[in-house]
Formats: sequence, structure tokens, C-alpha cells
Amino acid sequence: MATTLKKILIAEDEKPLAKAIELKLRKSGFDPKCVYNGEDAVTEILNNNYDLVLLDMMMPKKNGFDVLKDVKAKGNNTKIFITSNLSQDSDIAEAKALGAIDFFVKSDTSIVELAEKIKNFLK
Amino acid sequence: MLKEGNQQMLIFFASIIIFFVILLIFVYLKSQKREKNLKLRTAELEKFKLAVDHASDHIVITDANGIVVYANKAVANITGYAIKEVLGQKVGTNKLWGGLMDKIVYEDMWNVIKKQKKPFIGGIQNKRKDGRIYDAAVSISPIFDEHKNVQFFVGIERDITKEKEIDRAKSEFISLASHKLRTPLAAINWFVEMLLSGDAGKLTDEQIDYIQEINKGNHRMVDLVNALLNVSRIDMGTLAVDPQPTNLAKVAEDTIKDYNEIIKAKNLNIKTSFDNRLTDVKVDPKLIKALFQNLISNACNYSPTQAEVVVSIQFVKKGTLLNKKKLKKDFVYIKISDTGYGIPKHQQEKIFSKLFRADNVREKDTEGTGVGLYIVKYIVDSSNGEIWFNSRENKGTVFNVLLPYTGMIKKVGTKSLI
Repeated sequence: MATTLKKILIAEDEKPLAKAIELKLRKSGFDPKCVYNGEDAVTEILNNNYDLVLLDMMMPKKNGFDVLKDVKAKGNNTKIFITSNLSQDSDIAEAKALGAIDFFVKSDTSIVELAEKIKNFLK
Repeated sequence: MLKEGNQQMLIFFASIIIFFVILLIFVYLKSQKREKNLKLRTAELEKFKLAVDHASDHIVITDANGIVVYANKAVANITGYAIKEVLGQKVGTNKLWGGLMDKIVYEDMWNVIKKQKKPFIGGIQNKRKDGRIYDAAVSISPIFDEHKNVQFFVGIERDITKEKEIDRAKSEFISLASHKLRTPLAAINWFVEMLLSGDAGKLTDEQIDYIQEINKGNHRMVDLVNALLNVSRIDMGTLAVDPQPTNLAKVAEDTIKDYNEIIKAKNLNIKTSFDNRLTDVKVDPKLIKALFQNLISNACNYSPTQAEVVVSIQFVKKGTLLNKKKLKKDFVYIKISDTGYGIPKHQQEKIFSKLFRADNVREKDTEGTGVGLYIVKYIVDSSNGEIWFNSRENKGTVFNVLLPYTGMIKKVGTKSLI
């Protein structure tokens, strides 16, 4: 019997980055889906049961902080990792206070390591 | 016929008259010359006055107490105050254009010009009569009488608001451009990583070799972009300083560990000496880490194999003689020395400038960004510390840093170093 693949939502407006993560996660045995703005991210999170969300902070229509707030306000407990190029301590603290589990600065993070972290988290 | 006696008398009186006439002519000529000189000098003075009156820089003369006795036309143009409103007022107060900066800035200024009797040169912000703020480059010089007492002060200010705006726009552009560059760089980095980890199929050794070169180039670009972002944060004044009690020896040791790879590859001899009297010092952990990173990595990168690198942190008491000066308070003395390539003498004065790299190291190592020491100098200066160095080409370099034992001064800002 085939096991269902874990579902991961990638909310990232930079398409080459979204594509890289999507490819890597598919190779790593997950079922990824991409959205390219904050509003679509909120809709997807609220209407589907994702095992994990990778959320960018600077996105059109709704930024990552507002996505976190909206999801929290609806009582949704989907697990969210932040993948952003914001790297200030204050941004990281704010995202975590809004319920994000972990924060990765894209330009400083290896995609191999990111995939490993996700694998371990979803074990 | 006159008698001989009378004749002599006549000659005598005639001589006296001639003498007086000559004297009169002489005095007349002399007074004419003096008058001409006076006219010339008056004309010259008039010329100087005209030049000062119409200079585009704001020029003010005050008495020894800072009360304005003269102001040129530019004062009215720049500040918006009429000259008659300015005369008789005290400068540096909020009755005129001053009073906007911290009290300590004006105290420092008065201390320099009045007590130390030296010219003050600096940049300050002032307020026009209509409330608009402007940036000014200021130079105030004390003028002395024959007993070396301050007779008056001459203050010259230039409105540099536009220059500052241009400078800020330039820094903002660099900041924005650097930030935008980070995304495509991250994309290149990730796809290269995926290729190297075999996600798109097995690669030949030659393909791996080529891709690794792309990878190295990309990492260097990331370093440069981060360096530019850091410099723009310093230049825009948005960098925060958040002092926390920090164990400096531990930061130094951790930093040395970060460079283990190059230390092993070059078989460098690393020595440390940490003063056991040192307690935690209140410094910004990120800034102090950047200071150690830059100085230690320079020592390692710019030294040949088997060179010696010494990292020392000592506590130095007020009154100690260091760098030809008696210390006015307690300091932490950080010394990082190497037996490396050194800095060529003719380029030593440039080493703290932005993007500068010495010729001898550019040949040996192409990786440096040229902003490390600029950042280090900023960190030291903003902490009211001091940095100096001694270097001889092919003998080595010693960097000396003094940081006040009381630590760094907190500065609210929106950004930290990357």
C-alpha cells in the first residue's frame, strides 16, 4: 500500500527560489505545492491540511507577518517555517512570537541543509 | 652795501627758512603718502568686508561669550533670521539656529574653542527660523589678543543638506541593490547545490569541477553583497549598537575556531593570551565578533605558511602609557599580531578606507572585499575606542585596539551587521 506523501506548502514570490525548493522537496520524498503571494498562502493554509508551510516574509498582497496573524486568528495550528531574506533579530523574534517554529535566512541557508531539517522535523 | 655781520645774519635766517620749507615739504609728502596708504588699506579692508558680507558660507563673529557682533548676508539666507535679529543674541542656543543637538555636543564645542583654545571643526544639525532642519559643516576659530586671551570667535558654516541627501540616496541605492541581489544569488546557490548533490543526475568529475568554480564565484558575490549592505548600514547610520555583558576571550577563541580550516591548511602557529582579571565587558556581541573576525581572518589570510598569529586581550588601567599617551580611563587592550606579508608603507594611510586593498595582498588573495577594516574602524570609533597598527612588509602587522572598559554606547538603530 502506497503511503501518502507529506504535504508542504511553499509560499514564495520569487519563482526561481520557489522552483528550487519545490524540486528539492519532491526529490526528498514530499508533496510540495507553490503559491506566489500572501493571500493565496492564507487561503491554502486554511483550506488544506498541510504538514508544513515554508513562508517567505516579503510577498505581494499580504506579507508573511500578516499571513501568520491571519492563520493564528482563525485558530489554525499548521506548522510554519519562515524562509526569508530578512535577517534582523527583531524580525526573527516577531515571526516566532506570531507562531513560526523556525526561521531560515535564504541567502545564508544551504538547500540541502534545509531539506534535511524538514525531513527531521516531519519524521 | 650790507655789513658783513648783517650779511651773515641774512644767510643764517635764509638757511633756517629754507630748512623749514624743506621740512614742510617733507612732512606734506609724508602725510600725503600716509593718506594714500590709509586709503589703500581702507579700500582693502572694504574689499575684505565685501567678500565676507557676500560669501556664500554663513560667517558669524561673536565676542568671547558667544554674543553675535557680526553676521554676513548668508546667515540670513541660510537660517532665515534677519541680521538685526541675530546681532546681540548668543549662538548655539534655540533662540537662533542652534540648540538642536545633544547638550554634550555644544559643551564639547565650547570646551575645544574656549578652554583648549583650538579651532572646532565638525558637522552638526541646525534649525532654520521656519523650523526646517539643515545639516551644516562647521568651523569655529578663537581669535586672541596680544595676551593670548580669546577676543572673539569666527564661525563659518556651510549648508551641506543637499550633499547629505545625495550621500544618503547613494547609500540607500547600494542598500536596495544589494538586498535585491541576494535573491538571485540564493537561487544560483541552491541550484548549484542541487546539481552537486546529484539531484539532476550523476555528474562527471569535469562537470563537478566547473560547477564548483561557479559555486565559489557565487559565494564570493554573496560575501561582497553582504559587505556592501553592512557598509551602507554604517553610512546611513541605521546600524544599532546593543551592548550586552560579553566574555571577550570566548568570542576571540570561537572566532579562531571559525578559521580552523585555513589555520590547519597553512600550518599557522596560533597563540592566545587572555588577562584573567578581565570580567565580562558590555559590548554588542555582533559588532565585537565582526571586529575579531576581520582582524583574525586578515592575520591568517595575509600570512605565509607556518606564520605566527598572536591574539591577546589585556586589561589596562587608567594612567598606563600606551601608544605614546597616558590613558585617561580603564581600557580593554586587544592586540592581534602576525608575522605575515605586512602592509606596504606607502599604502598604510589608506587601510581604513572603504574598498581599499593593499597591492601586495591583492596579488596573493583575490577573495577579500576591502571593507573589513572600514567596519572595524567604525566599531572602534563608535565605541569611543582607539585603533592603530604597526606594519612592515614581509615582517608582519600588529593591530592594537583599545575599547573603554565601561563598554560600548547603546545606539538605537533598525539594522544589525549581516
